[in-house]
Amino acid sequence: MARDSATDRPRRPMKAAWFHILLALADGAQHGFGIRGSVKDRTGGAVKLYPATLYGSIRELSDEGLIQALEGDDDPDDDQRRRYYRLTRAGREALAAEVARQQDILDQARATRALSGA
Amino acid sequence: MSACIRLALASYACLLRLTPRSYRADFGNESMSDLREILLEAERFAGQTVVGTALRAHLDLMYQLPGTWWAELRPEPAGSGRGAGAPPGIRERTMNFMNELRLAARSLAKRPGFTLVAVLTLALGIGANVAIFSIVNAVLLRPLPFEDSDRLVQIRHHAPGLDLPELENSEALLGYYQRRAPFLEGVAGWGRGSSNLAGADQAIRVNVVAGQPALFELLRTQPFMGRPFNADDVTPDQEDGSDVVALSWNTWRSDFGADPSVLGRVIELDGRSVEVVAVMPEGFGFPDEDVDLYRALYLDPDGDFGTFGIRGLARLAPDVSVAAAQLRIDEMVAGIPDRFERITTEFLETAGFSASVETLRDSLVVDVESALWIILGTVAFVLLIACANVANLFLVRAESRQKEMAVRAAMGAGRRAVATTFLSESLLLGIGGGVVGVLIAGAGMDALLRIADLPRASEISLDAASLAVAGILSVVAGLAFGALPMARYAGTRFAAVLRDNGREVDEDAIATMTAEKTEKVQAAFGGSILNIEAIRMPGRGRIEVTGQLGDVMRESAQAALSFVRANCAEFDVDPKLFRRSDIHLHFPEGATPKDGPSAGVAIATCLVSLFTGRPVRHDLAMTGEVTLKGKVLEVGGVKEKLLAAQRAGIRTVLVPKDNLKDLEDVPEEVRRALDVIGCEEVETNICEALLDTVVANDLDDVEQAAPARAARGGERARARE
Repeated sequence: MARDSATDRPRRPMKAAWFHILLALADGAQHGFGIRGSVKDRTGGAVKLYPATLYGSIRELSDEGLIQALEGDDDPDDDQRRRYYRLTRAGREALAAEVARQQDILDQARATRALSGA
Repeated sequence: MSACIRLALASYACLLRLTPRSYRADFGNESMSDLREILLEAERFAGQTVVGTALRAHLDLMYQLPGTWWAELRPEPAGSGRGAGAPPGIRERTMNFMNELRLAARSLAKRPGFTLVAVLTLALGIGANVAIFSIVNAVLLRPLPFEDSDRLVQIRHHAPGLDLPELENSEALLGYYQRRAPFLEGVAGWGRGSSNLAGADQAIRVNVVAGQPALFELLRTQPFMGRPFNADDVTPDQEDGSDVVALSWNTWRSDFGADPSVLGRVIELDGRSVEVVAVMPEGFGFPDEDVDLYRALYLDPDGDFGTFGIRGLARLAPDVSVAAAQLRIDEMVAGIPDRFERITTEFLETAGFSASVETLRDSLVVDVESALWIILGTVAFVLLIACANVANLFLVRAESRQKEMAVRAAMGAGRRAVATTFLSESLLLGIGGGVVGVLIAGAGMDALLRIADLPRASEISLDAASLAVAGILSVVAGLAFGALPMARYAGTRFAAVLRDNGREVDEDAIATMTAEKTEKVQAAFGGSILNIEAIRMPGRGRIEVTGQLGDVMRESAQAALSFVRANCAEFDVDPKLFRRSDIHLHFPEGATPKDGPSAGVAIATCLVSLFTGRPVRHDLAMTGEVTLKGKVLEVGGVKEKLLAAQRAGIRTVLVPKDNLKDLEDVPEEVRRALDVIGCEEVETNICEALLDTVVANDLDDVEQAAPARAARGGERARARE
């Protein structure tokens, strides 16, 4: 990610789908449908990743080296055909950087009266 | 699993086929089984419709399509584990894109003939479509400019038994419906004519619609100023029309100078004094905007049954469909004999008397509807044909640019770069065609409307929808024929970009290894001089073969290389060299297509020379096909080749041994001038052709050698075809 030299934060927001996928994988490896399920649960159904967005993002994230497909089955009870993905170190860093970026924005918003409950 | 889900899955699978193959292979199965789960889940829970969910999944896939191709086509996808490289920023991408467009524009400007033809062809296609679409949109698709216009119907009567298939309404029938048809919110009779108007700025002829006072109410129209007609405006003694009129907006503006005090003014209509009581709002026109004046009309509800000719407008009561109204009005027609003494059931049956209810829109446009759709379909085909033609031109042009593409490839352009070049050029052409097309549409539509008498003509214009259609058509057309050469070239490696274009030099080919007298021999009978140039540079064992070659020649180059690599020990070549260097074989005079196998031995010799540094004898020529095992095979046209070699001043010619029998056909003086040697193995050729001295170069240290120095180590040889 291109970082701002002054603050060491990513300059651009991460794509929403990327962020949700990385977040879903933060707790451990999952397959595509599992990612969709946990994103849906976590957001209370507000974010639904349809297959093309899901797998398109998974491919982009793999290309970027932020996630990695696991060889072999992580959970033998589960569907054999599904591939599992986990965060790479770069993915974890990118996620942390994105969260920090969002935290900055939140801090800035708190500093103003934007969130004072008006 | 319901049929609905199966259908959605099938169509999703079809759509999935549009994604790149690699994406499908990686994610196709999982996508399908996910979608199945999602749809089943949607089916189980209320509040989510299967159709809606399936639709969203489809849209999602369409939205992601370009992304999947982008990941496919970009030159070097950052491999996993290589760290996170951010995608180029939006500004960067825009800059790149603008740059591509500028390059494309320049390249198109260099071929004004091609560009002009392509743009004009597209412009005609797009222009025709935009014009016809504008008409179809205005006439057929847009609702009539009245509130709830789909509730407005027209009532007509028919009496085919009396040879009167189309009757309008009579006063008595209108009165009948007005009093006894609860399924109609209201009925108003109206008619159209023209009158002489005096009392305005000048005397003019005006189009007049005379209607019962309820007409404006049915249309849900309030005057711009003044009052609507009311029942008191009309009295039974006004047979020719009442004394009050409403002006249309346009008439008020043009003939009354938009006079705000026009209300109450008395004007003369066909010699009768009438009072202006209202001005209708801008854009209002019933049945169209050509009407200048509206006049209140008195109709006697107990009038004559048999005098038809009054048009009937009605508004359906809420929740009554057109079909239901038709049924009810049929019942009323059957009940006519009970209401009208002089009309008997027998008479109605003889006359085949019936009433019809159709929407106002249908009654206005039904005559032209199917014709317009057919025309739209036709011009759509015209556009397809135009696109096909331009695609054809584009392909031909792409073929003729192989050299340019080869140069770009040699300079490191990837598949995506070439694709972008084609796409931006075709996009520019498409947009150019669109712009000119809109101009053509604008001009053509005026002419068309003057000739054709279309309903709702005043509503037709090049509006935002038309421009949007023009935009979409241009981009889609542009992308479509740009994708053709892309599909052809971007899917293969670069060597294949330089595919032959089908024309072959005749088989009278001879490979020589001399360097001089190119021009002279080229003019000689039987083919053209062909340099075989080979250079070696630090790399990874790739071979590039360029120079307008046919597949046969390309393959023979591959075979020669494989042979040399397989036998490198024999030629004192370090096998590691192949791995550490890239080879570029080039056959100059790139504009001349070349094909055939007979340069095989020459290529092999050239490669050995390249890797050993042993120079080639300059007074020696050779021809012959080489097999993977190094056998030299017979070729055709040896006589002509020998003649040409002699003319080129060659001393020694190496021919396949099996071709020695052809020497009988060669003239004596040529045979005397040449030393013809028959070869069976390519080693013979190599031994004969290469000098024993080694030219000093950095052969053993390719990786450290700067490209320029590596180029100096390149060996030049030439072959004649």
